[in-house]
Amino acid sequence: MNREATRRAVLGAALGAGIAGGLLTPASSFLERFAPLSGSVWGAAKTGRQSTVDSPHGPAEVRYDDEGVPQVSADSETALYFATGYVQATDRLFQMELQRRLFRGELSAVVGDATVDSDTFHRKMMFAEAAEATAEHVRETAVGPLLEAYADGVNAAIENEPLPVEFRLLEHEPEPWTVADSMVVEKVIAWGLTGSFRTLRKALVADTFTPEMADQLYPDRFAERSRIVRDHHNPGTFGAGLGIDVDSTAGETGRTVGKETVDWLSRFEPDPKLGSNSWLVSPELSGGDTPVLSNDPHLQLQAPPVWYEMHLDGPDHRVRGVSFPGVPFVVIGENNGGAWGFTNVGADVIDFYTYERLEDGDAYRYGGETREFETETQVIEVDGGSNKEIEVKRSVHGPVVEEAEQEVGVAWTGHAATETSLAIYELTHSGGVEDARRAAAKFEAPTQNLVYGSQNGGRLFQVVGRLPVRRVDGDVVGGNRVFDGSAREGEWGRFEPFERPAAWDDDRPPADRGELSWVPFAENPRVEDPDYLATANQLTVDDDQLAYYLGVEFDPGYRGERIYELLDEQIEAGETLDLSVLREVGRDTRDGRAETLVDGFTDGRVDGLVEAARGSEDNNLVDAADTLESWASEPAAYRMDPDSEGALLFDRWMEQYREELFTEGFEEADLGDEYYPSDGAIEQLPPDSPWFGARPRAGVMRAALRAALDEIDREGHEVYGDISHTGQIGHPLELGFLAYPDHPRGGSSETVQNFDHSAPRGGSWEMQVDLDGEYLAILPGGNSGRYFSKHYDSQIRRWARGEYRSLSREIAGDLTVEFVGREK
Amino acid sequence: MTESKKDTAGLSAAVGAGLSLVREESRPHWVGLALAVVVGLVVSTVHWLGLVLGGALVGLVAASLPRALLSGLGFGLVVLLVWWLTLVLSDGVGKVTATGELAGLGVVMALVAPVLGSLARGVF
Repeated sequence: MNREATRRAVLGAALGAGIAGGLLTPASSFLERFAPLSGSVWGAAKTGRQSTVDSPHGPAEVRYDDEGVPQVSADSETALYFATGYVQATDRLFQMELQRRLFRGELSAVVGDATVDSDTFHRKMMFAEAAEATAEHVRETAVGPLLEAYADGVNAAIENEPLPVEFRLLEHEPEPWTVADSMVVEKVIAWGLTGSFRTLRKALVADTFTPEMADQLYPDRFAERSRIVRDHHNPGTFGAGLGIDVDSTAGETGRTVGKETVDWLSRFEPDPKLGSNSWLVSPELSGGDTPVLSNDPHLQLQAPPVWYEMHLDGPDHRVRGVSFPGVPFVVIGENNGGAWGFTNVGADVIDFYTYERLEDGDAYRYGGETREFETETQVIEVDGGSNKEIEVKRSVHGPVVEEAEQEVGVAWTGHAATETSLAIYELTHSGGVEDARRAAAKFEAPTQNLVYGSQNGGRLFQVVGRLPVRRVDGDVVGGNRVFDGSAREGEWGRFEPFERPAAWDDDRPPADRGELSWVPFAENPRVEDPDYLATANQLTVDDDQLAYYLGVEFDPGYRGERIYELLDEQIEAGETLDLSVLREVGRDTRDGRAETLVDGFTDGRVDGLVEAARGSEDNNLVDAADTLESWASEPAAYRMDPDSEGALLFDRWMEQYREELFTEGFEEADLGDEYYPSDGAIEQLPPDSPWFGARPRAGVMRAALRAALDEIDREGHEVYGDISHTGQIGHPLELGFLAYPDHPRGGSSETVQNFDHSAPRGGSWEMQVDLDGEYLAILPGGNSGRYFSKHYDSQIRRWARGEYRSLSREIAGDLTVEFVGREK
Repeated sequence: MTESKKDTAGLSAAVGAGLSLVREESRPHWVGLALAVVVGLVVSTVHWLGLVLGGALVGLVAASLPRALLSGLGFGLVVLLVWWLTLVLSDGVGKVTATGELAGLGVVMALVAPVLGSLARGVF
């Protein structure tokens, strides 16, 4: 072969190898996704959408306003919700896909083996089965056809619209949406707000240390702060005389659940610090003709936001507000009749049962009988890995989770076939307090504080959600214990998981129902027409005004106390509580933790951090004391503002104080930080608490302050905004470009303007409504989940600055999508 | 010589003559180059192999292998320019740039694939 031929052969081989490599190796996937002009990922940059869409449910129109909020109008409800499904899927499809896969335990099929444990947990907890049971039940109600139309709309968008960038990055295509998927989203929310393994953790800590130490870590009540329902609301006693008075002396009956099981479960527990604010002010106090209402749910902050804003105009109602992507109906918002919002109660609607195992663990004793655990083998599909086979198990109480050969039965109200979606739908159609109350009765899970204000001036505070009554040996007991499932203790009457509880549809007067296994809805805490009322997840009502057991996991009450303090001040000064005042209340950043931790109790019981630092010979600590003292004084006054040096120091000190208190003891007991208590519990630890160990309280405070100063110095931080900013809000795929840009934002986990940068968690839909005036709201991000849309992050800067948008009550914007076709 | 072999030889001779023409004569060269770029771009919008094809076509009309490699690189730059313009039209330049390494991957592909294709000049 001559030289020329050799050269040609070499070059030809190089060319061929290059092409073959591009087609046949993993490089192919990269070239398909990222090649310029043809790469599937870049195809997502085309933000246009179909202007005409065939609808089997009849005509509808969609306009988008300047903030990317869809304005959907139609002359029939099925057409309206078909279009709603279409726009939600167009704007938020990946988020919807991720949520349903997470709770169905199907994430690993898309993202690989990193989520096998998560899939295992979610399958064992049988959320999908609960959603299927709920879907089957609501199909027969007024919302059945609307949920079907919504699912059709989602599927039309999957077919017609370009897939968002996340699908292209993962090379994944969604399967059709179903009514049960919408119910999965309902379960996601319910679990996020009422799922808790605190009972198991407290029992384990009590076993590992002492019951007293566990009580200090997880107190059932936080003292000295405002309840939601106050004396001037004249609440009376809820549930009195119904035979459901709780026996607070009853001891625990079940066994402590083993550490391996509690550790594993705690990994998947919802964030226990999720909270919210709301308030309701009468027309007399607001100086107008209608009530003023605020709602600010503090949920996980992520890109895109957990809420989706929409404005719907149907044949007989108009409603504007937010929904969870995957849910057709506006959950929080305003219609022509009134406005409403929700905060979490902290009620205990989950119980745990241990069993006497029989026959090598396949069966258990149940009263005088032997029952077999119902088991099903499921296969978790794993992308790029080996599939995993698991056993999904249940008892009479509900799903059974098993780790280290110990079964724990879980009963949770969310495992029932609930009518919450019907309640939400009816709220969007409500025309006043009576309508709202009727709708609220169907809101079965999760337990929530509903605040409602109507156009005609009526107001309502109502705890919604079903509250179980537990009995041991005939005595009513609280749910803050592990029950002996084999002895049939602590059962909720004839509660059958994944079924519709017959007791929920029992219309007879409570006195005719026999032994009550549920608190009658009429006995749930409520206040009619309060002058003003505020909720912030604190204890709903004082124990002497409540006959039955509600729960033990209430917020320490810093926010609740502060909101009432600000409202009380205005009222005492004779000022009106109009929107201009209330928006300032919503932007308050004073941190109640700091008042006692930094300054000590005013009665001198305990010295604070400032005194502790001054007691040191270390000049750095004395300087830090000066900084904190200045921050504690007006005008800063414990405010967690972005430009504050004192707020930065307090934030970092609080983190280090937690570590100083618990790291050593917990490490020795092999317990992780999921066992750490709330800051409210930390604040009220008595000076002689064993948790301080051999050191005095002031010594622990000083050690934490040194560590905080070292950290601040090492990281080069100067003010609070250096760490408290929107750049902390990321995307579930953890790709940097999908996160939000950095904008400093004030607030902490315990301030009214809420932002916990470390979670991150905070104001997820900050709304204030004057029914006779402005409708203000803001989202932490943007309304579109499409990265290439200009509305992906269009509100994040204003959210960081504490601004609000003024929302129109008119259907506005250019016609974007026209749905054509006849209703079948 | 059979008929089919005669046809193949004839076609080969014709292609050879055509290639010589576009490589050596100025006007045919530029027309050929323009056509090569257009064909390469059109195919590149539907598949990444278009990048290789475009590089190969602009390479084949080049006078020599070094010039072919340069033409391949040039085609890659044209691809980047067209990509940038399409992103300008869809208001996506900033967002694509913000993807960092992913956009960088696209740039590398735009430059390497056509140069790979232009190696065809050394074969034909």
